[in-house]
Order: sequence, then structure tokens, then C-alpha cells
Amino acid sequence: MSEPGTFFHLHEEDPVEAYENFKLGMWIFLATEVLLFGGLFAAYFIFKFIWPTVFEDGSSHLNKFMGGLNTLVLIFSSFSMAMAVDAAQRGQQKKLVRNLAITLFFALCFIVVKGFEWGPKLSHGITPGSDVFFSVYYMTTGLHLLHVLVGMSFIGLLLARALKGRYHEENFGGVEIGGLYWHLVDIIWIFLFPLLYLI
Amino acid sequence: MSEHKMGHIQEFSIYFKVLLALIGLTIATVLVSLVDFGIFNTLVALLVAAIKASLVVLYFMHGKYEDRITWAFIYYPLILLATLVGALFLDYGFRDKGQFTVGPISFDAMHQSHDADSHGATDDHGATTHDSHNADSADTHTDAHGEPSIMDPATEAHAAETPAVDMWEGVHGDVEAGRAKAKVLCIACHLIDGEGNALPGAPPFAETANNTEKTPEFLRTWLKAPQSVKPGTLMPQLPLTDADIENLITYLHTYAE
Repeated sequence: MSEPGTFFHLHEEDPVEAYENFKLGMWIFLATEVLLFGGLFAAYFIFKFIWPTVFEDGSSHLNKFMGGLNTLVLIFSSFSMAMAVDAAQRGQQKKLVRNLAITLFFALCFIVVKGFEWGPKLSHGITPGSDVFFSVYYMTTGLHLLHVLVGMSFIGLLLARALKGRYHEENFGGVEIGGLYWHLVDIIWIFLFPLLYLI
Repeated sequence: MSEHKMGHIQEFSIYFKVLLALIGLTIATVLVSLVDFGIFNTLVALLVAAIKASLVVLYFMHGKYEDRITWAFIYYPLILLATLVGALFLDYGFRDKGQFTVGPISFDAMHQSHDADSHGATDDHGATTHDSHNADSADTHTDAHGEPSIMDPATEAHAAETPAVDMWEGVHGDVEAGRAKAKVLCIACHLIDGEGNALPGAPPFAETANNTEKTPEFLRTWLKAPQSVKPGTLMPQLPLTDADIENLITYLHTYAE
């Protein structure tokens, strides 16, 4: 059932057990990711508590429309990623490739919008050193952007493999954990958007 | 394990409903942010975000069909995070706000230290623990221009002992050019000759000029990059050249008594 070069080929375990372990490993990794961002969220809350006016002022410089647009872009990408996992589970090759491509496209949209946000700010001298708010802003959104790039390479890999027909009803673990990672990137942004842009 | 199937296939309608809910909640969180709930703003925003995140975890990530071990790894970072934030707020929440001497509040603290000369600067800046906190915060946010030593009470006390006449030596800018600049820029927040706005935390020129802690050296760094000296200050970083700064300091000197 497993083809040479697939993940399960490397393991002696029962494929279902290997699949469960594969997924659990990703969930454990995601737990460390939550803590990585958690430290920054803690910094956000403490700095906001100490310097509320700086945060109010800084937040007013952010473009709510672009932040909201990117939130929707990531939600749609999360949806198409979920659709890709679903397609892999059902063994629908074409639907899998299409949804992975759509997810990659939305990820690219996110980066373009981010560029339009960061570009003018940086050229107007609003840098991570401007004040405490922008220090937190660039650090959190920057680290998030890094995760978007990692997620994109992950999805790119899945797409290349899906085109070779690697995933089917009994081998979709790779797509599923790629999906888990991508959904976490979405979840982080779901928290960043209201905290930085709205309040 | 053998009868256990690989993964769980979910109905399309569930994915679609979750998508609609996420879009709806995104619009809701934007609309809700327009209403002012006071201190509950953050709480409301976090609540909506938590609902959205839960939907993603439960249905997009198939968390609903995961076993206990997986859920243990979903809860444990959240518990650790709650502990971290809770402990930090227990710490900072019970501190005297006046201790945060970097930021807008510190401006008032500096005035007090100036007014109450007999007490000396150290009293207002508190015990050593506060100072280490200041140094930490300053280190975190200073950029290349940053001179955290300016925050050091010892340096301030030393500056206070220095006769006022000496410290203005080496300031040879153009008074008129400085005046022109000040009447356009500084006057927006600072009182100059009784004109302009007296915003909270923005001392009149006459006061700053006679504050022996505000040495020309301090003012140069301060005007160049206020945030590097006091992260969080409301003093904006103005588009000033080095010559502008010299002129402004020279002009300010005319108010020294």
C-alpha cells in the first residue's frame, strides 16, 4: 500500500499507527509554536498595560482595511487547505492539486498585502525602533510572516508531490500535517489582527 | 488498531459552515471594535478570536475527532501561556505605576526631581530594583542612538552638580534659525514665551532651559531619537538635521536664567 519514498515506507509500524504518530508529532510541534508566539503575546499585554497611550497611538497608524483583508485571505486559504486534506482523504487527485494551488495563491496574496503595509511604513521611518508598539508589531507580524513563508514551502512540496500522484486514500498523512501547520499560521493571525489593528 | 480507520472524513457542509462563521466573526470583531467597552475591549476581542480559533481547531484541523493525547497537547501550551501572562500581571499589576520611569509617566517624575532639588534625583527614581528595571526596558528598546546611561540617576545627579554656565559651552548654533524652527514645530506642544500649547508632559521652553539635567548632550540625543531615550514618550521624532538641532538648543539657551 505504501510506495517507495513515501513517509510510511520508512516505518515498521502499522500504517494507521504510523499515521497517528505522524499527526501527534505535528500537534506537539504546534504546542511549542503556541509558546513561541505566546511569549510575544505576553510582551504585548505587559507593554500595553504599562504604556496604553503608545499602543493606542501606534495602533491608529495601522491600516485596518489591509489587516482585515489579510485576515479574510488567510481564512480562505485555511478553507482551501482543509479542502485539500479532504480531497486527499477521498483520493481526489485533481481536487487536491487545485486546492493546494489555491492555498498557495492566497498565501502569496497575504505576502503582497503585507508588502503594501510594511513598505510605506518603513519608507516613512516607522521602524521596529520607533516605539514599543512598533517593536511588538514588527516582531509579531515578522515572525508570523516567516511562518507564512515556511508554510508556503511546505505546501509547495505537497503540491509537487501531489502532481506525481503520491497521495491517495491510504496515504494522506503528509497533506494533513501540512494542513495542521497552515491552520496554526491562520490561528496566530486571528489573534494578531484584533490585538494590533483593532484595540 | 486494525479496525481503526485512518483519519476522519468530514461532510463538506461542515467545512462550508465553518468558513461562513469565520467570515462572519471577522466582520463581527471589526464592528465590535467600533464600540468602546472600556477595559473590556481586549477581553471582547480575545473572546471572538478564541471562538474563531476553536472553530479552526475543531473542524479544519479535525481536532473534534482526535484522541485524548492530542487534546493534552492542545491544552498544555494554553495552560502554560495562561500561567505566564497571569504571573506577569500579578507582578506588574501590583507595582506602583510611578515605578515605570521610562515612558510618558517618567516625564512627570523628572519634573518632580527638578522641583524637589533637596531630595535629589535618586529619591524620585527609587531604589536599585527600579533602576535595574529601567535599564532592562531601556536596553530592550534603544537603537543605535540609545544612551541608556542617561537614565542612570548617578549621571543625572552628577549633571545637576555641574554649574549651568559650563554645560552650554560648545553650543554655537544660529539663534534666529532655531527660533524659526521652534515657532513652527515645538510650539505645537510646548509653551514658548507664553505662546503655543502646554500639553501634559511637554514642559515650557523656559522650564527646560533651566533644568540642569537637560544638558545640551542630553538634548542632542533626545531631539534626534526621543524613543531611544524614553521608550514610549509622546515626544515625536521630528525631521531635524544636526544643524537644526544645534540651532534649537542654542535658541533654547536664550531662556536660561
